[in-house]
Amino acid sequence: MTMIDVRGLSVRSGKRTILNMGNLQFHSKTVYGIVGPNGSGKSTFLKTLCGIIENYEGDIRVDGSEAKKFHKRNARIIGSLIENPSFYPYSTPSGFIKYQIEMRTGKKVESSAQVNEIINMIGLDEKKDEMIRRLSTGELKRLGIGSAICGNPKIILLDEPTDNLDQIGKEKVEQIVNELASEEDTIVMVASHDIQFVNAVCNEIIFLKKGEVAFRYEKENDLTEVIVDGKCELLSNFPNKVEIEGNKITLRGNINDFMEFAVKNGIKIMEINRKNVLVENYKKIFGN
Amino acid sequence: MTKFFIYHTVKSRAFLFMVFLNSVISILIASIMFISPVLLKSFVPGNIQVNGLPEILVKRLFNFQWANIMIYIPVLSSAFFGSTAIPYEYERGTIYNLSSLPVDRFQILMSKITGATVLSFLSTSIIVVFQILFFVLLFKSLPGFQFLFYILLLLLVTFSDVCFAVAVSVFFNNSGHSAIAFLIVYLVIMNIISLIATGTHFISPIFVKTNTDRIIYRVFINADPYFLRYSFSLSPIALPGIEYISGILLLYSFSALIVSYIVFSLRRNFS
Repeated sequence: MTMIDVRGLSVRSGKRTILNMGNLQFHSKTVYGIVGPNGSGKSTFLKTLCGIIENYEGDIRVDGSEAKKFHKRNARIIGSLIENPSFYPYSTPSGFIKYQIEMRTGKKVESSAQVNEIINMIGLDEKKDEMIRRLSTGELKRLGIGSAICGNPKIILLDEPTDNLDQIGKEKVEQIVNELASEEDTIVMVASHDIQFVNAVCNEIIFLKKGEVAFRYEKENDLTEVIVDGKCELLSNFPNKVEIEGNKITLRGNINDFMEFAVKNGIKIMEINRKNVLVENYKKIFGN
Repeated sequence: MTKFFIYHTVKSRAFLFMVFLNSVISILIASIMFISPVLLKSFVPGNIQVNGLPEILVKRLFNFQWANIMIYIPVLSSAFFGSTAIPYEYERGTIYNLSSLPVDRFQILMSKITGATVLSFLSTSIIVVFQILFFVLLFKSLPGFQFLFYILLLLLVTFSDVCFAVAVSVFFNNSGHSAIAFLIVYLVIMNIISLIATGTHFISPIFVKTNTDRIIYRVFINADPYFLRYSFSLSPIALPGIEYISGILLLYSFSALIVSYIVFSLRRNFS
């Protein structure tokens, strides 16, 4: 189902065009990655989608409604974390999350369970009643993600969610994004220049260069080489193969089906080589 | 939204500072009044002795003098809470979060103005509490019915000052610049206009915001020690006078609201 339909989107800053996206569709149940170097228009694109940038040309439809005309309606289904999140320093994480839920749903939060669920998901249980100004950068980032998921939005936009985070922080964010992605009818869109992170969490990746889409890459098209030991004649029975060369079979996308097939037929797997072309393409497009 | 803004600011250092400042000011006013009756006498014309005046007049003089200092407190509070309300969002970047919420600019603006008015009035109330306290200590009785008018007018003046401060602040991205600009417009430019008005009779000084705010102390004694523009009277200002000036203050408030809304709506988060 198409959740976001972008047609001829272009954003200008003075006389300069900073974003020229053309036509793009974003479907539910997908994690999208927007990658590109600094200044490529990643944040601008997300800011336009969530209504922060209002002066753009073209048409954005969110769940069928025109973004410019139905900002209030669309804002209820879009949750966003834009750049380094800023908060009210004298508020507390639980107070801020409660405020965000009330603002997004338009309903008063009666029980603390709703707030605690989000606080628990972002791992701020111990600091939920501390003043926000006392939180660390990583905790602030997680609180930003928490505020983006308040009110169960269908579209979650995360801008540089791993920026300034250490490895443990990145893993925590990765875990949160994977949890969000498992929700039904949800789009998660991650803008980042952290190619490893994007590669780990996204199904589809859009490369932006100078505000334009340079390349669109679907992980489904990733090729995997599997080298087996014996029973090579059985490989030709597997339906979704790309190529067979001796004891080596090349597969496209998810290899879970092949693993099942191998177990069922007693095929011993010797080696799996994933041909991830994401980094290759990144280097090709943006240089080293 | 208003509740969140109020809750957040009440816990801030700015609010604590304002509470501290107002408490110090109150104690200073009280000290001056108790130590130096000369000040009280300075508002009594001619050779009339304060001690010889009827008690009701001395009570009025007490409140009049207290309210004379009080008129600057809503201005100060508005500079603190009103003129920083919107620029604070731009300065800290929380405007991104606000803009992505399902609320329009009018709602944001009204929440900010309501929040700032409540906070300004709360901090101003500290001085009122001290005023009542010292009144009771001095005269062994509660302030009369006029005090109610005084508090209502204080609320109206605070609201109009906050609206005025927000109208100035919507042009700024920086809280400090915005507060300074408001104080310059209010204390310097408005007083220059007032002086010109007094000198040229081109417009009545009563229409100038700084003069209009002075209705607070005229509830007790109808005199303006700054311009002596109004007919000097030891009686309180008459009700039609209060209604008239309240109308002017409301006009200021609504004009400021319209300006704030237009500018804030036209303002983009990005150029």
